[in-house]
Amino acid sequence: MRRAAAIAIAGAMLSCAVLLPLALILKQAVTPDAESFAWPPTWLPRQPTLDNFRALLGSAELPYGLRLSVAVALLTVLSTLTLTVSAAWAAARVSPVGRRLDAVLVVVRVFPSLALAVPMAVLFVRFGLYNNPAGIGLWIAHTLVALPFAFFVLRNAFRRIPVELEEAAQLDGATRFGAVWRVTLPLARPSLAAAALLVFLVSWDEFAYALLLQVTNRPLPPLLYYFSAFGYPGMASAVAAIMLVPALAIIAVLAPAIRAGGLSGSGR
Amino acid sequence: MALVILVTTLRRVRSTGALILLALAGAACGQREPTLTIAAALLPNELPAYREALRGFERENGWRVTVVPQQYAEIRRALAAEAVAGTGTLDLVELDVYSLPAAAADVAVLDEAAVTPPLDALAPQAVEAGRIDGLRFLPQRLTWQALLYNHAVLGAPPRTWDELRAVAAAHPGHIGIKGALYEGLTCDVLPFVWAAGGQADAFDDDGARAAFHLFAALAPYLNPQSATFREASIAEAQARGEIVLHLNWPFAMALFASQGLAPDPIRSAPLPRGPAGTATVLGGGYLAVPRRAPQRDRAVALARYLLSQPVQAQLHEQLGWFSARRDVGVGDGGVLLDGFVALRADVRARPGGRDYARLSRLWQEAFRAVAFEHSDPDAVLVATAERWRAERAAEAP
Amino acid sequence: MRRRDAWWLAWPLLAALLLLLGYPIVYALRLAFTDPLTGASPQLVNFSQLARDPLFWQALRNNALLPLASVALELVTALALALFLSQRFRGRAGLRAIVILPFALPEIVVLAMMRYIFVPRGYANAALAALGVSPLDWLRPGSALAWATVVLVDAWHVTPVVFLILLAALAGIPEEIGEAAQLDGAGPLARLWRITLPLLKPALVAALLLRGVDALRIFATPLVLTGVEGVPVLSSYAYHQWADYGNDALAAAAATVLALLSVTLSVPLLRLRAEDA
Repeated sequence: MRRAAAIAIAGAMLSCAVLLPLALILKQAVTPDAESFAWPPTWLPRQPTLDNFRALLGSAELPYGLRLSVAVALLTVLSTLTLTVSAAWAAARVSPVGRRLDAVLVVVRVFPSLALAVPMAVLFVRFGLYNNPAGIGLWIAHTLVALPFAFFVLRNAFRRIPVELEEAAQLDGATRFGAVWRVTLPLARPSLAAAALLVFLVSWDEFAYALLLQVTNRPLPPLLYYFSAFGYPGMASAVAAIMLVPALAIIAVLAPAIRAGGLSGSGR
Repeated sequence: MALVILVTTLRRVRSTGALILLALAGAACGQREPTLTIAAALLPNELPAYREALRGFERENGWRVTVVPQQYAEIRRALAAEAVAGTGTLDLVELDVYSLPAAAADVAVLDEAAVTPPLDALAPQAVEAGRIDGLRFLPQRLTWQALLYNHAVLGAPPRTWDELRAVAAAHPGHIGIKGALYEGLTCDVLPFVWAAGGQADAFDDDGARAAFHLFAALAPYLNPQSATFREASIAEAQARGEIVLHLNWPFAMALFASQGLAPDPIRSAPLPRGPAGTATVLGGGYLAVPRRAPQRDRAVALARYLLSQPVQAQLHEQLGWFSARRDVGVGDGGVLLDGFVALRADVRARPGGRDYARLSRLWQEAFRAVAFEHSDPDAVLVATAERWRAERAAEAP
Repeated sequence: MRRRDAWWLAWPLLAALLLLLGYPIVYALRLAFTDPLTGASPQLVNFSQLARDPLFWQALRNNALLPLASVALELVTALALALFLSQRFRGRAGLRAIVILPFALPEIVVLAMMRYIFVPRGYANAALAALGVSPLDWLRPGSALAWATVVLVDAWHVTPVVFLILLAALAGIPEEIGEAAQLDGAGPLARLWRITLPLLKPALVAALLLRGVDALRIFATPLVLTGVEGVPVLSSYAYHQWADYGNDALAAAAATVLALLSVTLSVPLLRLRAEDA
């Protein structure tokens, strides 16, 4: 009995620590700024309003930023998967190759974004990619960021598919490539989908490169930063709420995979 | 082999590709009528009024105008990037008055005849600041700093340095200064130096010493966040009641008004009088046409429109902007901008020239040493003057 | 499948990495070692200018110490959570989902939330005031409390990752071992100390190394919470030089120092992974 009570208390405290900040920002999204600045702050909105969202939709930046974030994320999925699929398969099947690629991609994964973002910004200015309206420069940067995530997910997925299946297909007369195409890839489809979702999320959330590489043509994360730094809690929280929708949706879809440890090693 | 895998992967993500094309099409979709893009330093609450003012232009010409609100530093970066890249999307930019010399190379020289209708109505000194190897910049608005204070807490604003000291001592931790390492700090420091009779490029004259002794006296009472305050964060702190007074530009009063905080309890007042009188620092947004602007003539037409009398009057009335036009009254800002209006005759410009950035940085570091590290003001000023002399000597030959 | 063919398959990825990672790094080194006034190269003038800037030294110090504190907090918290949530009780799945949530949120959303909580007149001080406690200056520039707040927020965001690693490792420990120890009379603490932790050591070390190097990248957390001057780190210092002063060369020099730190600390991580594989 005491154990159950202790567990309940611990669970409640844990839930509070995690959910309270989330609840607060959602509350702030529907609260007028005058109330957000009052002291003491209210825990539930006294005058809930959708004005913050209305103001956002009326501004030029939100619709543009939303389109830019989505477009860059989709492009990143395309480029990242294209670049990693074959390498991940090779890494899974041939261990010396796998070890080397693993090392390289771990370094990419932990490399500080700012250390690359600053020279990239200067370089992009030279090549006309800085502040690109279609986000091409940002797409390039996000591809680099996302490569390790996609690689680790796909490599683990291919590892889990026994090589015997390919060998059996080859015994039946298929070429190596045909075996992979007809046997392995279909089995890996859920992981490909998971990798695509993960890459989308990585690009959607990414802040450092977005802050440095885009200025007048901004995606959502720097836009949120701008609103919050400029004293607009309502609009900042509204942007946050909008950003949460795909993020939570994707995590909900990926949750079983996360719990099964399929995404481990990517350290995301 | 790799190519085949590439293609097959592409086929696999065919539907994704379709989505991407749709997204890109959507992004490119807005451009059916001719569109002009103007980048201006507007806050979210100023945007609707500015757009409203532009609607007249859109109706007259059948063109669309896209307003991109950014901070001056960011507009400057975007402008520089487009100049290097050789192509651009910005047709008209607004730049901060002190960055004009540095940006001059990236903007086009304007044909004075083409902009004469508004040009002759503008105050000559304001126009002079925009003449750098030819007329490149036209003043869209003039701004200067005033004291923004909480009327409910303080009653009357401090009118002299002694009163300022008294208020600080009475409200420890509630005095704010934009103390982050950036140009805004210099804008807070120089008015005090000038009000004591000092020069912006001397560092150890009597005026600077008097001002820095004041800063040293105020240091214990400054809100600790001052070390990272910038225009926006200090305005937010005032809105939350964490500070009761600070210096800021007119935009802050418009911001407070939109939040229902002005004119009660936040009001504007002139800066406190120093030993040599009152002074404040000039800012302002100047319009320029980037060298790489896609539609130069239309951009000039837009600039003429923005500087015309009805539009400048409308912007003044709705946003509290002060116009460089001599025929737009300054006193119509209402009670919000009282303090600003009272300072009109005391506005001084920061020194021009290419080494202003380094001069400014020295003021910033000197202030921070005195205010946050509690160094001796005289010693700091002497050291700074030394450094300035050394730097100028180093590049003289 | 032979090594050569396998490398052929990997070439698109490697070519992309060379271009996207290698080229900017080389360019950054060139920027960092060139005198911006004279264009002469190689010069150490940028690094000597960094050395004269006290803000840089603060940033370097913070960049070394913040990850240590953050990772320590994360390991302890994640271990406690993993131990708690690997026991059997009702609602465990729900709690596990909740624990993972902070990492699911986009970083900038978390930081905006936390900023509104910790500003002087924010929700944290409101809660303290409701309890009758005097408010704390959570984000006071340069204070130890601001430092601690940054560590706390960073740990809040990242602990779920370490939690998952440890949870998976705990799941791998067969129950019989614990039961055998219990039969031998070992109490829960003794079991934890003598059996569970040693068995968890590989996972703990892996998590420590991965998070330790990852934590060097810290950028947005101090920037959003306290501003560049509040709790400076090398990333935000480089950003400050680039954004506020347009000093490409100094920013590149600071970025180079950061990259060097990161690469140096990656070596033990790589060695560990090589052993594991």
